[in-house]
Amino acid sequence: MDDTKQQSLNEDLEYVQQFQANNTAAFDALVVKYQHKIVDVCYRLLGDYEEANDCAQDTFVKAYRALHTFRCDAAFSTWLYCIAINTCKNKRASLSYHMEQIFVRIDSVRPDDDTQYVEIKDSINTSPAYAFEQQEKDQFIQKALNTLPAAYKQVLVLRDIKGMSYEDIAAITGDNLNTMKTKLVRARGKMRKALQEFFS
Amino acid sequence: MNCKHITRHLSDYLDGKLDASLRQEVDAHCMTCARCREELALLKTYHSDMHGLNEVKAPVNFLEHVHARLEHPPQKKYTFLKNLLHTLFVPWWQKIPLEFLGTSAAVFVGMIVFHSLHSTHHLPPSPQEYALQQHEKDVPLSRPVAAARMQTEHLEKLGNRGNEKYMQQQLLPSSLPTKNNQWAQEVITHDVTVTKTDTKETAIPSAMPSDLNNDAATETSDARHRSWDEDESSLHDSTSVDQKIATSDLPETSSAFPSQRLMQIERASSAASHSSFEKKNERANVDYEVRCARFEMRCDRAVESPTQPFTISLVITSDAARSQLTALVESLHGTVLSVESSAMMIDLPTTNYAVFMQKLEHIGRASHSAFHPSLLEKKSVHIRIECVVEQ
Repeated sequence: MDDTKQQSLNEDLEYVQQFQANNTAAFDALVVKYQHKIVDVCYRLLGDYEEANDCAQDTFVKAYRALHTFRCDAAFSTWLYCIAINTCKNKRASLSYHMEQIFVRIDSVRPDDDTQYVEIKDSINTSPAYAFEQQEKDQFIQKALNTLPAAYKQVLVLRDIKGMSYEDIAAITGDNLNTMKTKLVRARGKMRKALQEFFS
Repeated sequence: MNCKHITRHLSDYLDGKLDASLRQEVDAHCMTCARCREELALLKTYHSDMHGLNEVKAPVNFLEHVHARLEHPPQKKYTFLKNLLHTLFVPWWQKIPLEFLGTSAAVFVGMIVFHSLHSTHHLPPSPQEYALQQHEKDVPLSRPVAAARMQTEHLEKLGNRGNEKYMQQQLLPSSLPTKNNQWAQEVITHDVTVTKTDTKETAIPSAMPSDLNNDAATETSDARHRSWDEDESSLHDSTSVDQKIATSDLPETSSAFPSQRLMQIERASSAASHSSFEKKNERANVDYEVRCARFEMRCDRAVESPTQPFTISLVITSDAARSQLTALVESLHGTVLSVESSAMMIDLPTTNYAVFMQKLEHIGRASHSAFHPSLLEKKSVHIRIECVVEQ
């Protein structure tokens, strides 16, 4: 485990302990630290920015209410991702989500794609052509992700986008390690085929 | 290691989770196998694409939104309704077919249960059943007759028509009378008595043709029959009436002209029994018709055997019809074998049967059971005509 990750874990632990000592400002620090990651995961799983934002807020509200009982056995980030994934799962299963998938409000101001919320990572190449190409690629990848089953999408997002370890992913999804690996191999195969179709 | 095994390990290879020996094997295989090498290159491209994916950022005021939600949690409207709808219809591609099947099965079972209950308990009795029930309420059955009736009805339910042996077995248990035919005839005769009891006109003694000249047998038979279909007071009355008819009012000789004898019987019996059956005149004609139908049904059983006489029930409106009937039989080359108070036995050529039935309609309303096909093979057929006078 590298130093930055260890440092991050220690920082999380300190914030949690401060929160459990009735310092609510520590929770704000945790929100600020993880807000982008949680929104990103929610967006990858749901494919809709507004829904993802709503789910991310729900995730933090749930974390706030349950943080007093957090025993620090696992990393705070793993616990928070677990809440986020379960919230997304519930959201997908909810009736309102299904209705919104079927009916589109006529007064919706939501843009067709959510690329405006995507931050360009690469600070070296900031040319408009590269940015446009990168946005298009992101769009294709997200569309390919949306075609995958939810179980495959979870492991793929956590492993290939968030770069989490196998053990953490297994802990978050609640699967056996080998099951999770099998899911990952199949998810990658499907994703690669989907990407090929989109790029071709 | 073949391509299949290599492909399986490529994912771990990219993640750096393979041990050194396996990693070397994958490297060596990919150097020689173009297909696996291409697969690895595609996976690497995919890997770099996914890692190069830009992170979606949260909105600027995300923290404020979280605070607002913590302080004022959104009120869930129609929670119960939403939960109910969610339980019933989400996911719809699983729930709706299952619910459809379940509802169909429930409706099917309900229909079966309703139909069975309706058919067994809620159907009104048929006219024959109703008439029989009413009669059984009014008139207590004597024990052997009740047993015989139950067995006969059981036989009817079984639908075993025309099976004479079976009928005899069912009708004649070891404790009942020994003569099989006598017992079967008795059952039929009782039914005849039912019909006659309900008529407003007469209490007619019923006797089989062979017993016509045997007055003692007629008396005992009549007494037995009336014990089934009449109460005790009317039994005494009618018995005395029959004794009068048998002993004093009628000539003893059997050589008297049949129609004359019939008329005498009719007059004597109607005059004598009118007072004793006056109380029963309240019965409707409908009842009479129903009993008559039942009578025919019983006769249908007996007539299926060609050895027994074919029976016709004739409803007439005047006594003069008896003499017309006799004249008609003689005109069709038939002979009157015997005459009873309410019935007569005739022998008629089979070829004249159709003409006889046509001309019978001019005398009264004739109804008869099915003509057994085996009767056509005979030259002549014995017909028992049950005459009922209707006012």
